[in-house]
Amino acid sequence: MTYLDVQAPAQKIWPALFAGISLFIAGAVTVSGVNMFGTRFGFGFLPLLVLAIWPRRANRLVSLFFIFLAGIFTDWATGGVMGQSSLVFVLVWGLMRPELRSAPFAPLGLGLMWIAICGLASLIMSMSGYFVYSVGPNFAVLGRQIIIATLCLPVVMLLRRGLAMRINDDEDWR
Amino acid sequence: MRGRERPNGGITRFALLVTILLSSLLISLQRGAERQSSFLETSTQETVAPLVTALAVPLRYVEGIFSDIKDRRTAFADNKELLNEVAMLRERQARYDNLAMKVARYEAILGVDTETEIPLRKIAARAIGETDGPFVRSLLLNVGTDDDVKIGNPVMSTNGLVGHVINAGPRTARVLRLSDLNSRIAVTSVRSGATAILAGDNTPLPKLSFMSQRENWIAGDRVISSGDDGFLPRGLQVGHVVNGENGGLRVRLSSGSAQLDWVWVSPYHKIKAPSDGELTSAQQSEIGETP
Repeated sequence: MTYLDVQAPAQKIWPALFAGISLFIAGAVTVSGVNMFGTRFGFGFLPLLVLAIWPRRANRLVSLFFIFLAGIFTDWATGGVMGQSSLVFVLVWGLMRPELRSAPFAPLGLGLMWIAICGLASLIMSMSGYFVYSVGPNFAVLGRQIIIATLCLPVVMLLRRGLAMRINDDEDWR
Repeated sequence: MRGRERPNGGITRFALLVTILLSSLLISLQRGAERQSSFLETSTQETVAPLVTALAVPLRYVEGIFSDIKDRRTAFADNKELLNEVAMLRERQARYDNLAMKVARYEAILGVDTETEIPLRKIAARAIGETDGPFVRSLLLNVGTDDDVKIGNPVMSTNGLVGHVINAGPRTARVLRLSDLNSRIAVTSVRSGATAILAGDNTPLPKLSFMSQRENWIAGDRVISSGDDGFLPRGLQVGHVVNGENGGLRVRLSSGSAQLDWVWVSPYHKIKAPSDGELTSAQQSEIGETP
């Protein structure tokens, strides 16, 4: 790499596989939720946490393949509109471009990126849902899902950091 | 080399476009289509079930903490209310016993069959997953076709009807809740006997539509399943009528949005429509054939 050059980091398959499997697990978890304060907080936005911290050096084609399949898997698991989650995942990943972000994460940058992801995902979900059902989404449910995912963000970051340190804190996993 | 490694360049951009188009195509194929479950959906549901069951253990513990706090706060008021209710129910029980005796006597005289068709057998199930999304409201149960659960079977909680089974694998079943956009069931008012269709519309209070006699529906009416659709037995507790916005009527569901843990499936067999070549016993006796 030359000084001040605009060369993207080399792409690796293992980080893409690891992140892909994590996305599948997060997709399965969306079936669940927790009842607190007399209302239900669904885990629908948890897969977006995985997308938000997607490894920078993950092979892009392999990543895309996993992200698309994980979206379809999530829709089958939740009994939702087939293609809705895959569209959300693919668009979020495509627009956020993990290969361009900084490593390690800056808290403010991560926060802003998370807000953008939540906004984008809500918009795509609402539009695609309206297209299929001709009814607007339940915004209260969306809001609660965002809240619970946002509360999980620091935990996921700690978990990710712990795992990265166990794997020799390699640049590939950042 | 550098050109090939450009972020989102070339093949990646093309693949991204293909996946976006494919997802959009899948979505558009479901517009206005009837909800049908595929083998892949059932298989995914079966795959996900063990993970969700394992995850349910710590989640129920967390839920227990919150519900304990709430229960303790309202324990005194609840106790007072329950004592009043017990006193009222004792009086009602006495009246009910008298009426039951009277009705049994009338039935014996008239020879009528007044069974409600609600199956006595119950299949106990645990709600291991609950999808409460912006467009989908469903439950995942830990029982399936191995336990004799079939598509269309009603699912009840201690409070009332929760929904019906829309998808059943060997060990899991998916339940469409009454508040889901795709849910439509035939209901009747206990007070007036007027019928309507209870349609889920993505809100906690589903609306009453296609009301047979609008004037016979008022807020406060108790709503039960009418059995007119042939899918659910008559008499399942659904909820109470409330006034909605824009003058419409809605139903506050008895099963509500309360936390669901244990539920039961009623193995009800839907009424089959007679086929063209099949004669009813009345028609057979009319033309002099023995059944």
